[in-house]
Amino acid sequence: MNRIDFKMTQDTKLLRIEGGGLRMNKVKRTRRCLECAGLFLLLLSLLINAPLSRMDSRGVYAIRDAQIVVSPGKTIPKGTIVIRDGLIADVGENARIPADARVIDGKGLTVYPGLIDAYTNLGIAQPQQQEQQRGGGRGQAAQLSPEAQQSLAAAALGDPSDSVADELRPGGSAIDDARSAGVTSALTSPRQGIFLGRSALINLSGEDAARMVVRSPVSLAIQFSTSSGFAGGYPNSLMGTVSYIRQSFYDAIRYRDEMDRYEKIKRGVPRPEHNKKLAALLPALRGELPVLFSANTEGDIRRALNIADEFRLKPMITGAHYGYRVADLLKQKNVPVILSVNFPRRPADMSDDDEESLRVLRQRAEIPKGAARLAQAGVKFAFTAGGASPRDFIANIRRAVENGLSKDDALRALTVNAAEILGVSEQLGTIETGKIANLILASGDLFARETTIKHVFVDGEQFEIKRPETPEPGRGGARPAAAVNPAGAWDLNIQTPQGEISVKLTIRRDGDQLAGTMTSPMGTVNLSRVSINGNQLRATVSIPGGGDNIEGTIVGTIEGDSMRGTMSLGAMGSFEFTGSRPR
Amino acid sequence: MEDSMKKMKAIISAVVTLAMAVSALGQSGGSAQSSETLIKNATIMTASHGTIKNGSILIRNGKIAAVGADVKATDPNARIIDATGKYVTPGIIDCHSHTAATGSINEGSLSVTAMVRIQDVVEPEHPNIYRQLAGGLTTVNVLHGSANAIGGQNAVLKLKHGKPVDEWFVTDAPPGIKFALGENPKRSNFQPQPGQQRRYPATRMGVEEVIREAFVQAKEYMAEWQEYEKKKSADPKAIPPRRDLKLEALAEILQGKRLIHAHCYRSDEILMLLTLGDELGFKIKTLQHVLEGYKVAKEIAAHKAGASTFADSWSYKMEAFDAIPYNMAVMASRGVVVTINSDSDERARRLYLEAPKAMKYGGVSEEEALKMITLNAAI
Repeated sequence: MNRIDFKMTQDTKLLRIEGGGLRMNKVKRTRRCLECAGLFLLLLSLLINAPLSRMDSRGVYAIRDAQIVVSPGKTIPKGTIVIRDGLIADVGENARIPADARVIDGKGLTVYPGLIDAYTNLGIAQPQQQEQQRGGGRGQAAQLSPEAQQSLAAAALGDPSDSVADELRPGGSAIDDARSAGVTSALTSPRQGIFLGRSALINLSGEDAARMVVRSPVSLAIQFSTSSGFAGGYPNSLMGTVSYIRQSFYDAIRYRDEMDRYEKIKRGVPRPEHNKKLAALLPALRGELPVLFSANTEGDIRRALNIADEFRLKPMITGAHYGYRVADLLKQKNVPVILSVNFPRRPADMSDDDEESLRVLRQRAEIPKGAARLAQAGVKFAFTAGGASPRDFIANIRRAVENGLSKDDALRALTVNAAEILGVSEQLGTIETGKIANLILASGDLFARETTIKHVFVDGEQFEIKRPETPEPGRGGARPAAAVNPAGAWDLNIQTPQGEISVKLTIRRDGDQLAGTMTSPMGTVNLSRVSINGNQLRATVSIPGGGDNIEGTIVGTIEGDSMRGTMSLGAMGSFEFTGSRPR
Repeated sequence: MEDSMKKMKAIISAVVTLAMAVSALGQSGGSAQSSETLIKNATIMTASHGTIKNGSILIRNGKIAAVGADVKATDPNARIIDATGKYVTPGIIDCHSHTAATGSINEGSLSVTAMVRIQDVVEPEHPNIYRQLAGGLTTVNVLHGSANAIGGQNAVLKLKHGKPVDEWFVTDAPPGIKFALGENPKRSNFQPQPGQQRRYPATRMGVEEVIREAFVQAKEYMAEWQEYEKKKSADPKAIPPRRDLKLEALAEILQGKRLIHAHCYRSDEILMLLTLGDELGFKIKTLQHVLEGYKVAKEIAAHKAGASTFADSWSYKMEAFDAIPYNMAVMASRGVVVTINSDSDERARRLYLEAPKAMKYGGVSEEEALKMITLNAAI
């Protein structure tokens, strides 16, 4: 009853204003004024259907006559959803549309709970640029100063006390793109380090970082990265990384013991020093904060579970391309999985004649079947786009569906399961009264190829859908006609969390082939597989580092004499770069 | 000689049969199949009790239950393998392998990395495993690389192709650790990365000092724990010292619980390490490569160190020039337990061809040569 009373008050307040200061009893009695109000609502709904940029205030909305997928397998064929103050105020076949609501005609549309990408780097501030860290001049192999090396080494280890929620940066095209693809919430984790820090679940909403955070911390994130290449300190091997993680937890145990003793007996006991990094591991050791391991291979998953067993951690696995190979183990240990749907593909720059190993081909065929196998084994899993473009997120999940995953299970992974795994099932994951109004309106079945997202609500606010400017690659989109000429000497600045690294890329034409070199602080190496497709340059590079070579891929978009793009260095991560070609 | 080479070739197929039989047994565990397998009519080279002509081996539940001329299966449903015309040897053991380890086998950032463990990176995915099995290899000692004076902890594996990796570890094998002397740990063959400092040590003297320093620290660490053990019952304020994975492994060496496998070439550095062990109270279990072992065979034998060497691989760097093919035979004749290792996924496929080289160069007996790739490694 309370809720209805509240609604009544809200209604009357608004009507009183719209009605030009009329008293309520007069409104009720005056038929003409009722017609006025009706006309107003009509105008309002017309307004909503007109192109709108983001709404500024938290409005009241009603989506009517839509098919509503309340939760996987539970659908209202024709119903209404009322949104108020960021929450779902009502949902059902007969939900009453409040007089002050902006009404969206949902006829022919299907409403789904907002989708959750359960592992991203969204909203993480770009690394600070630390100039003056490099000695050496332009165009020659720059030497890293000892300070820069130290800071790189520290970044490679990471800091478990880092918290994404404290560093969140709202806005930006990455968030816009994800939201336009139907993703309304995301777990976000820092990018760099073995101990990545604490991740947070955010709503992909407006410009207020504090209001984006739904839950923090959700997990302590760990990856098996090594510090070869740009850094080079301990550990620079996988086994070293495992030892470093284990030693860190043993240090945290010692820190806990010292702290406990000091709390009990303060006199006569030396006061332990505060250590924020070790303190940040304690909630994980107590089993309160889940530990999210990035692990794609069977080996990495086993390593993660072994560490979790040794320290009685509550593990979660993200990535998990090969999770299906240890599905029974994951089920037996009740470990939730955040499955990456960034499935391996044939590299775009490979010519048709290039052969690939049977192993690679088999992996490419088997990995998209992983989701169905996890579902079959009863492993609870959510999805992550895994760094692929948001446009590909649903397209790749569609591939999982084509490879045996039921649509309900796919939707469950995107909504209910993600919410449960990330500890927000009370407020997200289904379309129920009282939950956060994260909703998407699709033109049809979410997993059908031709379906498009028509409206997106986050925290009860409607957001404009930004259509991708270029057609999806490889899906019948026209290729750019003429290739630009990439030849020349490019000065590129690669953004790493520890500052910029200057690299010189020299591309030359060699008959009808392209070739080139890259000069970095690691020396000069030849590029291989240099290709240009339209204005997109691709090249691969093998950088010597700490015994093993680091395989890198450079993908850059050329416009005139400037280029921007990404350099991917395997397990070290991907780094954005910008640069130019001085003439 | 001709004969023995032929024999060795015949052995291959037999060893494979044995390996396959054992793995078949494992797979049938729990099913209606018999727990027994009988290999009969074989020429059995036992490596410890001579050669049995026309003999049989009874395998029960993955273990050898009986070997002899008149061995019969007790279970009428036992799997029978007729090995007429074939030879059976123990599965070959490779005392120095890096197979099945994923990522770098060197944690090369520090000169002492006793905390890292090969067991954390065992991922037997590569077809090499299968190829090595085909060469009769059944057990490997997977070692850390030789970049550091004190490297990481090793893992002993059985090549159980197709089985979950957890089942590969030989859990009752004594734990070990890699040491390294000479050019690799002092990194004279390596250019540092631009912008990186050269790592200490840069000389053989430095390598010795790094090892000494590490053990001095390990002794302090042991003392700290001993003190805690003594006072913990009486002192309510006592809490355990910091557990240090590096010093813990070094302490295990001093306690005799962890065996040292030391990469070495030159006789001077071999003597250095043996003397250092006497000074600090540790024993070397095996000297690896040990190409100049023939010069100091008596000293090696006196230390009771084993020698795991190549039959005829040398001259690939300065410190590996003064090598002779008689190395195996000379060391064995002085009472050193000699094994022949691969240090290579390729050579690991043909250790059965390496062993007869000890017969050709130095006249080692057939059984003794077989031991060099089987029983001696197990010791």
